[in-house]
Amino acid sequence: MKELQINEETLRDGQQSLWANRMKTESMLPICSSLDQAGFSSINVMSGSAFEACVLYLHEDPWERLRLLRKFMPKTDLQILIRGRSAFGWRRFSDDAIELLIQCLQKCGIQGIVVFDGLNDLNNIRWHVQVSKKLGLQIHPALVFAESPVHTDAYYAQKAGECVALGTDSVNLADASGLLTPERIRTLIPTIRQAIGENVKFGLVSHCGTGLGSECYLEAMRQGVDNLSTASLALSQGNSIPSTVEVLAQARQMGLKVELDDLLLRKIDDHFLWVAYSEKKPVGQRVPFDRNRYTKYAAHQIPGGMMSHLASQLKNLGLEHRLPEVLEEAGRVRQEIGYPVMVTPFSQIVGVQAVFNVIQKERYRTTPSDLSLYARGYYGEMAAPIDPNVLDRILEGADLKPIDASEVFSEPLVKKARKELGPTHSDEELLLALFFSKPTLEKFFQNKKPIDVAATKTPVMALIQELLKRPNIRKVSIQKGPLKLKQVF
Amino acid sequence: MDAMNKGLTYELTYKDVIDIMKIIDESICQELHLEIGDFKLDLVKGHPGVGRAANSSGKAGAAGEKVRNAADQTVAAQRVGIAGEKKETLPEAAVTQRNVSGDASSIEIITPLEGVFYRAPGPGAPPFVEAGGPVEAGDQVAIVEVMKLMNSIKAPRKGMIREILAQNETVVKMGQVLMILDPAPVTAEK
Repeated sequence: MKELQINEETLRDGQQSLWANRMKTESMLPICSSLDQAGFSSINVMSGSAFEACVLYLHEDPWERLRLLRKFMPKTDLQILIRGRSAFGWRRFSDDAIELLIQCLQKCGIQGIVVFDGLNDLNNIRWHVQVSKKLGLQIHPALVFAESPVHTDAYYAQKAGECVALGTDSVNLADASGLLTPERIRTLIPTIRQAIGENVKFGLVSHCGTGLGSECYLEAMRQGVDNLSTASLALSQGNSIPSTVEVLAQARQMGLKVELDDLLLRKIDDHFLWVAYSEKKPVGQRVPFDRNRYTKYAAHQIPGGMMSHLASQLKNLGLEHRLPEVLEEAGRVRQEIGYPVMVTPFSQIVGVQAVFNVIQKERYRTTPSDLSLYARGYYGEMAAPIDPNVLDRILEGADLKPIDASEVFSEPLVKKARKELGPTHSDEELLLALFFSKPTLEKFFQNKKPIDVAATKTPVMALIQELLKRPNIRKVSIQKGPLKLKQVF
Repeated sequence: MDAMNKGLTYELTYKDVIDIMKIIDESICQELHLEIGDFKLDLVKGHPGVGRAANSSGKAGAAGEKVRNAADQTVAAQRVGIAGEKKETLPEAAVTQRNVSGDASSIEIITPLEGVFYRAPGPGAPPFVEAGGPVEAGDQVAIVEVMKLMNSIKAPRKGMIREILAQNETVVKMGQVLMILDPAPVTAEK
């Protein structure tokens, strides 16, 4: 019986896709032991954007969160997602910074590094692979999926083969925008499988934004996928990924062996439903598939998080009615600049350029500086060349010299930062200083709150707490085992 | 609701709580009586002002009394802000007890709300109880202060305080164990 492994993503992809990474550590800890015991092959606990949300919005020490999660989940392999060379920051980082980051993550208790590059340029992740292997960590590269004339099955097969050649523990395909279709999977997975062989584990994560996530998983199981990423019920579907319970039922129906504990899964689902309710956060809703909508979306592929951002920026300019125009233009820009996969930073570059093009009436009159950097090769190898006419406009008046994407690799960033920070700082503080600006960090240290590790309660206590918040209740009595409460107002 | 109920205990889930709160919030029903296994909920809705005013005038004498019921007082703390008057309490004991793992006979005395834990009635006064000291059922053993209101925590049973876990004058979280009580053997209860 073939085994299907499940990678748990509630704390990472789930809350990133639906809650903008605003889940507090204290909402995670009470359910950790269930997560740890449920039988997941791995649990992904953080990404660069969650790391940032900890510092910027939650005022939590992200390192502390990692240590606590490890403490409360001693059994299962914990993974973390690294955004290639930009890691947890925005600029591109050197070898020494990447190495220090991976070391610190290992010290916090992480066992596996998942790494992706927005251009699928393996030169950008080679170092991550080397360092992880040297430190004895698992390394899982994720190729990012895009729908375009150049992102063919052969393209992904070749990239997957390159990953295997680097000696990675698995090869994965990440479809951040939910563009994969079951039809595509039917040809794509066998082609990739051929390139990597039967012995290398192949994992998939797809999203539900266009309504195809669950069907894609079903087809992936038929095509022999080894690992699927899922999330707890409340944090599944919508722009997130399929739920664990749904995938489990499908897998069993198909005769696959999945070693997950049903009772614990129910407990986990129950817990996160409560977190959603008590923190007034949305619960993922199933999106029906609509071919017209899919076609429109596939043209620009702007991810959900970016879309709301774009809409609000247009609104600030009083131009919200021109969003459809901007999206159409984004599709054109994406094509003209060589189909970068629409993930950070390329989704931002394309989106911003599209806004400029629409509001200025003249295309590429203004270009974001990152676009010329991209055009000069700063981010790495492009999937397709930039349209020559557009390239001329982008580089008009700018430095034309090509940039070697690996130039930054050898910069002594850590050494420089150590000198600036002085002798009394930890490696974790140093990395924070590399990833965030000084004012951001000053504010963070001012506002930093200790993480509450004892915030457990029971459903009965939760019920009482909720009832007490209601002004229109005159009389209530509750009995549950030895607990009795009676209240008249 | 789940049909896990075998007549003895019902494992109330968070999903149940959400469903119950939806019924309370979204329906126009005035009363709700719910019983599943060992879980029982009775509830009467009504205008807060009316309900509260009637109660307060009816038992005005109790207003100045020492607070007896911690859970009551949470509500009182919230209601005072709304109606601007003091709240009396019910004599019903609301101290939660549960078994301490590993020792089936002892009872955890927990705080049902978040606040500041005090071991004595006032600064300089002797503590209500010391570790090793005897208590009667209903004896006050501590105070938890919430929004400037003092809420008394009472011993659920007669027995001996084995251990005091919470630090005096520190913030205690809802559900935190304050003390552990070794109950006296039950003799003439049945």
